[in-house]
Amino acid sequence: MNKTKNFPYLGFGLGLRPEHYQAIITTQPQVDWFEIITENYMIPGGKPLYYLDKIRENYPMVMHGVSLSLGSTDPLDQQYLAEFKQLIQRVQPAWVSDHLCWTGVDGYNVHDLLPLPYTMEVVRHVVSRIQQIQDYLGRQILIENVSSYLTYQDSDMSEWDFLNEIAQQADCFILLDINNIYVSGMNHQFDPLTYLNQIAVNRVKQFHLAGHSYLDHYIVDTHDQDVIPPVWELYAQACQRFGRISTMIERDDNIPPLEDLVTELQEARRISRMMELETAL
Amino acid sequence: MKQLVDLQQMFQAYLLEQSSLFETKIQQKNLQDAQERLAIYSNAYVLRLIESLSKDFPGVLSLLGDDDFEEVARQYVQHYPSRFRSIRWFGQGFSTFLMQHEWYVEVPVVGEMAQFEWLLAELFDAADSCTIMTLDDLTAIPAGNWATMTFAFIAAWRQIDLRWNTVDLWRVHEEENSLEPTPLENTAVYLMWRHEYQIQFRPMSLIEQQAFEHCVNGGDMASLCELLCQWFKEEEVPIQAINFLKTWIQQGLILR
Repeated sequence: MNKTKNFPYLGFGLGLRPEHYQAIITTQPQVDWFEIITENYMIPGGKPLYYLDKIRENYPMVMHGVSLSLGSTDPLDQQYLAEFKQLIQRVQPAWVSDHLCWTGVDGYNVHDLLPLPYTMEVVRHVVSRIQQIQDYLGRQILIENVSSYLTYQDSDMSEWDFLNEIAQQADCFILLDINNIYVSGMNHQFDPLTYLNQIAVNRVKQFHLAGHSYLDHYIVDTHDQDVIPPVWELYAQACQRFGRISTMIERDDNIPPLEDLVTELQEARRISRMMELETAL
Repeated sequence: MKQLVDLQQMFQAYLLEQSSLFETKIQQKNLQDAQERLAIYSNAYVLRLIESLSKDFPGVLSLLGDDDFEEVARQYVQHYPSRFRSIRWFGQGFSTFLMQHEWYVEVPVVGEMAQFEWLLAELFDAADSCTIMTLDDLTAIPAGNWATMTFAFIAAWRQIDLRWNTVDLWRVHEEENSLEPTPLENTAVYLMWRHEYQIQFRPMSLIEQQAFEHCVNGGDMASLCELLCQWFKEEEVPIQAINFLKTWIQQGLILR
């Protein structure tokens, strides 16, 4: 594989959402880069691709998928991969990512990011699929930790060991979702800092930040609220451990005006700068 | 890998068919704990798909009201689990489902609205056409070539037969003072297309439909004129053919 070892530091970004297309073009906001949802642009034509191209002229982009289904036991979807590659050629993203999860079997797609059992057998399965994907794309990918609400009986290792092991064996990188660590920590009663401190420093190339909601005894990763203070605190710890990592805020529902998200992004900038200064001292 | 295959099939069966076999596969403090944790997934699964339908079919939602829409959408989710890689396509079979549904088979405006709205969704991201013909292009064609001239049409057009005031209902679906669904005296054929990223639609006369179909299927100008002879006097036919052509060109339907 002709690997792309160069993962530039992009700064602070936002998820590109249709609600903000026009505002981005008109106001050229202080956002360093945008992350697109891959599948939203695997379409024949129309406005989404028009805006994608227009905004790409002025901003770096990365692509973030939801349907690669890395952990599924179905064969890899070759048609999907071909269209994925075509879109990569169009967007020329700094990198591409998807989730460490599965989304369906037997040809179905439940449109959710379902967790995997944390075992070495599953590690080998996912590693083999990531290697096939990386070989096909000719580039290394990033894999993201998902929020989860259950643990399988079969699991015999921690989620962080599972993630590290896959990244190491597949020689891919990690998109570390700080909110997902917090959500899963609350749902499974582990200390998010333990998770954070076990992740291999040299594998992390991007952070996600997002809000969540409370549902009875659990926290659900809804991406429909502002980032909460404990997640900002965890982000500060992440900045300290991993250094300068490209960071973005994901908002998928209850979407506020663009300027509100740009303001929220300032908090990420502030924390990152503060932690850089602290480390320098 | 058999273990993972079985596990994924059981989890999916829990989501799609509410099979309880999967409950024993997760770590749990007690049964209630397991059920609560699993319910987060099963509720999210159904609600996400219903939300997707409500976004694609706001006119149907307006006709049915929140409760009935949710109920019928829930049935659709149950009967037609997604095989699409993007949720954007999940509603593809919704209009057919509604047209055949026992509650709505006697209220065809519901299925018709769904059909209309799905065509809007299809046009939204249908393939672009970069080289649209202009009237200047048309006039530049040598007169000697006109008789054998054929036309290529854009990809982003659709046609729908409407038996109800569906278009009027759709136009007011966000307003409080909604219209009553009313059958039309005669079936209206609507041409729907996308021009410069804006979706357009308008009714077509019976003659225009025939002319349009003729040209879409590769008929040339000479044969179009022959076709039009059944409705117009011979001396009127060329001007009628040109008028159709001009309309289609001005509306961005024909490629250069």
